[in-house]
Amino acid sequence: MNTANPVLRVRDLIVRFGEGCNYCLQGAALEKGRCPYCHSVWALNKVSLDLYKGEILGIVGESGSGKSTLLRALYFDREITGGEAYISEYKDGEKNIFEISNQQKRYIRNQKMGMVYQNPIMGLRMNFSSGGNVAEKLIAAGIRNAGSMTERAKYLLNHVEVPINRIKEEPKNFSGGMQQRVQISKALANNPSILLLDEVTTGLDLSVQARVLDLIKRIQQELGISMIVVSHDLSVIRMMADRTVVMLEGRIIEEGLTDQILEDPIHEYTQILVHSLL
Amino acid sequence: MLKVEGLSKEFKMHIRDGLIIEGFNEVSFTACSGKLLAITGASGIGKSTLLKCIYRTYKPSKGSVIYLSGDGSRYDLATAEDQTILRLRKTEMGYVSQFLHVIPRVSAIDILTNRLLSKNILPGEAKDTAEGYLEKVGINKALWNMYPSTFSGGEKQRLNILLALASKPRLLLLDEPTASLDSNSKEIILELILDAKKMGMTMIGVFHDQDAIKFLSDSRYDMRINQLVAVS
Repeated sequence: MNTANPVLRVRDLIVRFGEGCNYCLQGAALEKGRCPYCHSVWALNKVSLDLYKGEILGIVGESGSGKSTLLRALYFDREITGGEAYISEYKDGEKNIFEISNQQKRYIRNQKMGMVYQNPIMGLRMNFSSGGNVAEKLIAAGIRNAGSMTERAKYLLNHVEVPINRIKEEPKNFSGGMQQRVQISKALANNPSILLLDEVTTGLDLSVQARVLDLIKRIQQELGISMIVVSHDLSVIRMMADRTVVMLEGRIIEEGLTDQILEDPIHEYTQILVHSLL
Repeated sequence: MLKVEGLSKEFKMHIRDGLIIEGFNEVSFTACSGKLLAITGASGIGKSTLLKCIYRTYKPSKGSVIYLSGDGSRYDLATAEDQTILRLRKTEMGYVSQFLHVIPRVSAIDILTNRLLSKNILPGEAKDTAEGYLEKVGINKALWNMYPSTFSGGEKQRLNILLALASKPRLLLLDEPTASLDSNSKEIILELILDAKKMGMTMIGVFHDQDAIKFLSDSRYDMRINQLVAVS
């Protein structure tokens, strides 16, 4: 872990729906993330964070707190209103990735990042074969050799415990847990340095959930990928994350070591959240 | 090696209208290299809270915890960056409670082997070493490939201590590692701790029984009067 040089730095990221007005643009108090005058919604309100090499950063918070918006903004799925982000592997971390051309954004998305969505439909083409799904990401990353693509797809799908003899099948025939594992292998295809995971185990049954989490943890240890794990499930966060940030109404209200956040929460909302744990 | 100065912890409970609960107040002591310092005092006086503040599971409210690291650097654990604490936890600081917390559905032998592997021990060697450890603490061979959640309390705790010792931390915090154990398990664990101390590990421990304190500790800090006192 390198304290001096995070792999990802995010500064004052804003996603706002609505024009904003003299009141809310001054940073005055909002009601649940919404301006009481112009009714603009501040989905992300000046979010700053650092992600270090090889760490898993957890993001917790209730629905609507901005967790998914943050991941989607970082993956260029969603337009941002303002703010900056820097990736150490892109132009030595000196270029704000929100100020570059669409072509360069695609390059970062294809070469440096992976994303796993809560709903596999978002990340997979359900009527392509599983192998084809992995290959799609490889082609996007610039690989053209069919032989090596097949090899890589086999390796990855095997890694996530999808049987090799089902590599030609379409994910729409798979169970939810298996679809999720195909999605993870697709996200890993380009050897990303940053992997974004959005509620990847929500909706899976308990045993499948444990297997997917085991898998992610193992991949992280083997490949040293830095990850941001978004979950509203505190036990997932406890098992996975080294550090955790807590979001509420588009802001980060507390951050710290995961065990500290869970056992000695300082902020009022975090205390309520932690004490709601069954 | 570790110098605690004027350390205090209070909890502000927002769910009780900001009620302040005092964990402990103005604790100062020095833990010397290769020795075991026992923390004593009645239940609820803040012994575990103190250990958690040193490990930074709790954020201290006031004071400092100066730690001299293996590479000669000095850190104030009370205020050090999260990244620094994570690194120290990984390389030189351990914490054992009376409960075993491990990833579900991984066998005892694999958990121990993985812990050794994370310490740069070669794969073949790690498995052998892990087997040696499990044998040494008398865990039945039939259990080695089982999940620890199926173990008895004593067996879980033996594994817990092994995991902490296997990573050979320079500083180990022990929070009642022998609580609610049968005398046989307790003896095995106390011997393991003594062995580790002989090998130079520095330890700060909370023990509920006097025998363990007499058997293991070199000095004692009494939280009722916030002072170092004689061991017996």
